[in-house]
Amino acid sequence: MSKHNERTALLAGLVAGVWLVVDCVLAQVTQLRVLPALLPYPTLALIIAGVVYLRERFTRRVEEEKRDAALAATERVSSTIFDQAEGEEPFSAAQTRHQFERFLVPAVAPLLAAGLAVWVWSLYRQLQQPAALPEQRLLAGAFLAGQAFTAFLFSRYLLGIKMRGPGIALGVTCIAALLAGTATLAGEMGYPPADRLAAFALTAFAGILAVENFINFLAELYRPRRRGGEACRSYESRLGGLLTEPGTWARNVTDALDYQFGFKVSDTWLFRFLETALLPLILFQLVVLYLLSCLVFLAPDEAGILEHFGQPVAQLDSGAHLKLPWPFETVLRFPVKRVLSFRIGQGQAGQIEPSVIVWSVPHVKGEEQFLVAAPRSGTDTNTVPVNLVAFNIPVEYQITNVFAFAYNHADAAQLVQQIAYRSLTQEAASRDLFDLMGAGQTRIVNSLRQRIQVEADRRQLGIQVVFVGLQGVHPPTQVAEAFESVIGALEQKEASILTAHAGAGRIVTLAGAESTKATLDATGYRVQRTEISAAEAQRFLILAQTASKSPRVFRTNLYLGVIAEALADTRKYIVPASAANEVIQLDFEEKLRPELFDLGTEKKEK
Amino acid sequence: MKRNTLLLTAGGVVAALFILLQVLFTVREGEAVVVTTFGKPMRALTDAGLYVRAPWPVQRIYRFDNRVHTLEGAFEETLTRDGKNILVAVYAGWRIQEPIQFLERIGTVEQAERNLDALLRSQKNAVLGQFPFSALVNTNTAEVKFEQVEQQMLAAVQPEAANRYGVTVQFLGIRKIGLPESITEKVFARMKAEREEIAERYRSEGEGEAIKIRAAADSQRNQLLAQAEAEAKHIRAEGDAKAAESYQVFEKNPELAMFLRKLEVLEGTLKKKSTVVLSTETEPFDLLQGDKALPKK
Repeated sequence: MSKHNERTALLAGLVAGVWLVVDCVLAQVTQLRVLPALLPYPTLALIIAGVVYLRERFTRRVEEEKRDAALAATERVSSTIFDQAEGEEPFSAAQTRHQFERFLVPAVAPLLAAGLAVWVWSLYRQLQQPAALPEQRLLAGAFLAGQAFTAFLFSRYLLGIKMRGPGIALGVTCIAALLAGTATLAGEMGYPPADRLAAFALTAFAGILAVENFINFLAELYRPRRRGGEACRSYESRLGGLLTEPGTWARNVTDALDYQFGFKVSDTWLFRFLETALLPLILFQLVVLYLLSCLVFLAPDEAGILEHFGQPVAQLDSGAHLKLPWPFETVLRFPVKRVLSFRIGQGQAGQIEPSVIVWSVPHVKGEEQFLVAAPRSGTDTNTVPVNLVAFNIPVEYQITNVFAFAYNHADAAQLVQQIAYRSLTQEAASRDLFDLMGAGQTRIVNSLRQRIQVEADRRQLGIQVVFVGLQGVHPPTQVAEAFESVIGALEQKEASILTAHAGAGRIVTLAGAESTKATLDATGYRVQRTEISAAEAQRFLILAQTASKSPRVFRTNLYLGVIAEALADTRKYIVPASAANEVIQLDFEEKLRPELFDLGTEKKEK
Repeated sequence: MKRNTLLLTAGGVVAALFILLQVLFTVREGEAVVVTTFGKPMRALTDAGLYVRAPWPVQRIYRFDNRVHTLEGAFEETLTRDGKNILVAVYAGWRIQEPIQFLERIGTVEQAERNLDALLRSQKNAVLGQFPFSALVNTNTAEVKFEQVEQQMLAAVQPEAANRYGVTVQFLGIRKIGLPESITEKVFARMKAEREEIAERYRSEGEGEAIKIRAAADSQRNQLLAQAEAEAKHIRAEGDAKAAESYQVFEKNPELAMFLRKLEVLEGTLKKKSTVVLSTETEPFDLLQGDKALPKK
């Protein structure tokens, strides 16, 4: 094999590389969105051309090696009894190609899939960002046309010499450049969105190629292998083949199936039929799809505006309608019957509130605070007499005039929200905090609804405000505890008063009881004194009468009786009268007889 | 042959559509279209319908959304006439008044919104500097001049927007007012202090009320006890008087009366656990003296 294929593959790679560099520079210069999205295609062509170049090079070297070996065998004079056993040299070209085909080539498809996937993700994120205004579109268009042209020529040539891998890759690059160029020209002609749309399309197709490469890799794993069968071509894009050779799509499909299944699928009648009938079928399908744009189905909550060459001609209600196909007539849809709603003061829409809502815990992220007027309480006139309050106000409205809603404002829904915010700001700014949080709520809601409706009518929004609620109005989380502490203090006050009342009741009741007791004690004392003194007087008279009869005996007897009784249980020390001058020591600590309560102690002492 | 005819027909249809799209164009309701010939603006169209033009590159069309756009300004800090810092966000509704001037001077809606935002901010700060803070937030509604502030801003913005950019600002509203973070913290502190003051007042009222209730109860108790004590003393005095009357009989034999009283005292004082040291001369222990105590014949 000559070096021709090798050089052709190398040249294809060089062409792809040059255009890759040019596209990079153009992307920087023109700020076109489509150019970064174009970059994966020449990159793909460059890599595949590199792989094919290596394959061709190894193939040529193997053939040269075989030719040299054959030549050497004819000239060699055997000097040994036995011929040297034939076998592959460890560092021969055949061995290198074997390793290349075995390890490197099958790895190309998954590597391409991974690389493309990462690239597509990066491109998609770039497309979400706002972009600068494109410049020098015509320059870019000229280069892209040149790129498409050269890629087309090389693609056709490569496909002509059966070098399908780089041929398809360059063909796809040609189509991508053509699309990018068309979008750039469309932008120049007054359709700026074409740039972004083309960028999205190229990014999406790169993503599809990533998926295809991965599928090719999996299919390669399960492809039946025979000695001398086709070498691995999993990096070749079947989809690219369909695009670059649209006239031979059936052959491409059958080639792909033959390659995958290892037998002639293309000999079946089904493929022969499809090859002839599919294109008319597709064209018919496209026509049917286009004619389907004559039908309009409006959902139960929708109404539509029928536009005839951009001019509104009728309002359509829910159901099926016939119209002229695009671009003669179009229909705009609006949810006229649906109650549309939004919330004021609750940060981002769609947040779910907790089941228990307390002032001191934030209910949602980004809860907004509004200024409300405060009566000046301090002495310093430089202070800002305001309070802050958080609102949760749902606003619901319906579209009553679909034409006004559609054509008077670019974003009527946004304007309704702006008006609602303005109305609330005005309402809050002239209200006292406790009026807002207390009895004035109904009045405020009505006033707010009226303000929004009046302003919406002034702006000809074509809506009717159906509900404005005041679901939540409370001090901000930061001061909520202080507000709650007032309620706590009120409770504390009541508790103090009730406790005092309870104590007072007890004191008065006990005092009444004590006074009654004192009176009763005194009454008892009086009775006691009266009765006992009378009894004692009576007793005295009796005793005196008795004593008069034998005074000494009576007195002694009485005395001794008392002594006997009084001293019966006492400890007695009798001191002789003769010992009057003696010092007698008595131990009063000694217990003579233990009492009942001393039994335990005594036992212990024992 | 049949296949080629089909392909040629399809290609012809596509080519015809392309040519038609190059010479025909629609203006939708709510759109403004400027037609340029070799880059020179020739006519502006705002009425919806189908129009004809020369194909590119002879004539080119520029489309703009001619409905009212709502521009939301930043929530920006500024000063009022009395030197109060305040955050104000405004919104404005604008639309393209002169499409050709708009194309020449601005080009895109996005760029127009950037330019208008700058203009709006400048005029907003200038107008707010003429009004005191109380014109925006006040419990006295007569002093609130929201509408006046908005009208002045609008009046300041309208001519400049029309002259510079070819757009008309149709309305302007103050979306929201607020305070900078540092002042918000101070307002929170004041709100807390106000609440604390009220809470403390409630607490002290409760304590004061409780003290009063307790004092009244104590007073009532003392009165009751005093009355009861007085009455008790009176009753006791009556008893003592009655007793004294009864004890007059003791005057008949005072010696015996005193003897009996001593015996009572003796009996009462010598109780259990008493220790008594007696002399043998005390009756009846004089019997312990032996013969000396025996009765003489």
